[in-house]
Amino acid sequence: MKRRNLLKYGLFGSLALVGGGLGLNLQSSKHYLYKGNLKVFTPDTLDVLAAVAETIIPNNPPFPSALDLDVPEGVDTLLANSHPAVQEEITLLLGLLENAAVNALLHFKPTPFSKMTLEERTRILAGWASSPLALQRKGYKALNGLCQSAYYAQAKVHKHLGYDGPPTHLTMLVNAAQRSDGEP
Amino acid sequence: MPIYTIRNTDPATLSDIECDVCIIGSGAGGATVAARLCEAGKDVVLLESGHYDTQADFNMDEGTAFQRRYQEQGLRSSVDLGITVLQGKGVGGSTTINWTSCFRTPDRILNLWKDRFGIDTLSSEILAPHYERVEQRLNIHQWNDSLINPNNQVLARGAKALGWQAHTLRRNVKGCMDSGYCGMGCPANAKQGMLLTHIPDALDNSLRLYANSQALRLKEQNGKITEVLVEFGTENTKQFTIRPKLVVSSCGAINGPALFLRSEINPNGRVGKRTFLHPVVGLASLFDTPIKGWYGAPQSVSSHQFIDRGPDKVGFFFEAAPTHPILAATAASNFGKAQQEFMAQLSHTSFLIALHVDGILPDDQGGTVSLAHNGKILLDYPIGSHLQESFKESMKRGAELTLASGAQMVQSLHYPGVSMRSTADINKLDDVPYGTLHHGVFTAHQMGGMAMGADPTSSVVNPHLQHHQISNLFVVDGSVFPTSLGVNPSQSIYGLASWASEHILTTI
Repeated sequence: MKRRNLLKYGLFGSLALVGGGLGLNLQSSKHYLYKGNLKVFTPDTLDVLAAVAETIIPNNPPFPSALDLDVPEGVDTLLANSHPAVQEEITLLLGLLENAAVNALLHFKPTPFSKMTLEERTRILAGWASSPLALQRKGYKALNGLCQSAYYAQAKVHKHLGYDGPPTHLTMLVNAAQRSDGEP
Repeated sequence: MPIYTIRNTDPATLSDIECDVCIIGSGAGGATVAARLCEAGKDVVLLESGHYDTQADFNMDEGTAFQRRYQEQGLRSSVDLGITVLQGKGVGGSTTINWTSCFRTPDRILNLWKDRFGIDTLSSEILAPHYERVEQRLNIHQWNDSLINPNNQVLARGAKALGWQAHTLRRNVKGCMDSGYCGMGCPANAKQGMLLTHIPDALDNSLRLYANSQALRLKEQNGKITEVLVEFGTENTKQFTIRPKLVVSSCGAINGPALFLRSEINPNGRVGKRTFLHPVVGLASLFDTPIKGWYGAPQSVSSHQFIDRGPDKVGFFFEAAPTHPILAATAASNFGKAQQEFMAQLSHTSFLIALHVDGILPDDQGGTVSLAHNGKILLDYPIGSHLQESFKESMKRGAELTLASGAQMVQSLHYPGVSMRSTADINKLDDVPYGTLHHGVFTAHQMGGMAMGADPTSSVVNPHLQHHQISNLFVVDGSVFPTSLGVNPSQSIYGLASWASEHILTTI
């Protein structure tokens, strides 16, 4: 690993480069059918993000699923206006997670993340969340925060939290302000 | 009451500008200075990098609010992601999205600044008339005890049961409808932040306000700032230049140092040093009665029982935090079904936060703001052993408080969270790690980084907030605080800015 690469890509990217050097980089074959235009991620990267989102927010009725609520696209939108360095780092992080060689080294599982079972994916993220390595905790924090934000922003989830949303009388006030704002 | 509907300036009309004073940042510091200088008849240009949103935009949608009215679309954090940074962006700055808690600067802090940093220009007596004026204009008054919401009642009830100090907060509101949506922009135009007070005051006195306009660089020549290079717009941007007689930097403790670093104005290397955050840790507590912490004044009670823990200890104070879904979900560190089960009980969940008073211990240097090679602003804030000890202590005392208040279960924001159902369980908190990325840490109070002080080798501005080396450059915001405050900082900034305006006027 050259120091130049470490500086350019940071630790997530550098580990991904190591994996790439072993010839086992991003290799998902499971395709998530995304909606709309992607602003940050490629379809391949979104596949990995979809697997992450399904792990962080598993199918658990009556909660709507992460994919029903387009959480991967939501994360793409969240990051659309962020600094390019942030976008690059999240993309590299997802590449690292999908890297079979890295998974073999770190988790004794030579499989891309998106091809693992839910139980295996859950075990890996749980390991990252409480890892002694700050780098893994950082990766977990980034992915968990983005997916939770994209999911719990949506009104379809709110009724399952007992969250009533904005009171009607206040919504009326804002609507009235919007109307008067449009007046000449 | 005038109606302020100016949202953006037409880029076609933008051209280079001359003025008496260019103020960068429209929050608590910049807007207050703008009001005072415009009242005195000065020709003032006020720059704000964010949007000019008003009541009509405050639709109480949490996702929209984070995207539009928080720095970095609500994703700002320390470089290691260990600390989530909540900081406002837009006309009014953080005063548009804060939770309205108001305190004067404590005497013990002013005395510390005098003794340690040679700041002999400030005292409670000197600041009093400025505080009084601000309190009148912003209608700062004690909140009605009968309106304390269940989330804050947890804190009041627990403190009372344990015999701990606690008091009802003062808030800058008028006609508050108790909505609880302060953090997204007040839907009732009740919050008396800069958006509805000092900004319109200044506009009435011919302020020129440019929203969506970011100061890129200051140009310095022969010890004076001669130009401010500005970029207008969010997509099709256009640059223009302001040539002021005097510049006031009021863009906060993170963007302010970044502006100076981009401008290569850092003669003694102190820009971005000693950044303080009031680092926050939290506890989620489950009650058998509804809490609905998203309704009602978000903060109305505070306990300063542990503000002074003696030598070699970091003090802390308790407040409540609202529980809107995104804020709650990202505060909790869980994922999977455990997180969904936690969120399913949100209506019965209370959030208690402990804010830690950093920068007081003699060797506490806080964090550092710097620039990456690609221009990204980096906030590096190591969480050392003193803070880790204080985090553990505040979580233990917070658990004690919420259990005394009747909580069925208290949970730390570790992954996985430490669950406590009785005081006997509190010692479980001895067995888990503290510090970076071991549990949630937040900041809503960014301070320091451009410290005031008498010594030009160790501070950025003098005790009148004038740059040590550049005579027509002032810094007026929370970045000049040489330590954190131990109280919510907005009123300290209003008062300081009102006071500093008098000195600025004498130099133009």
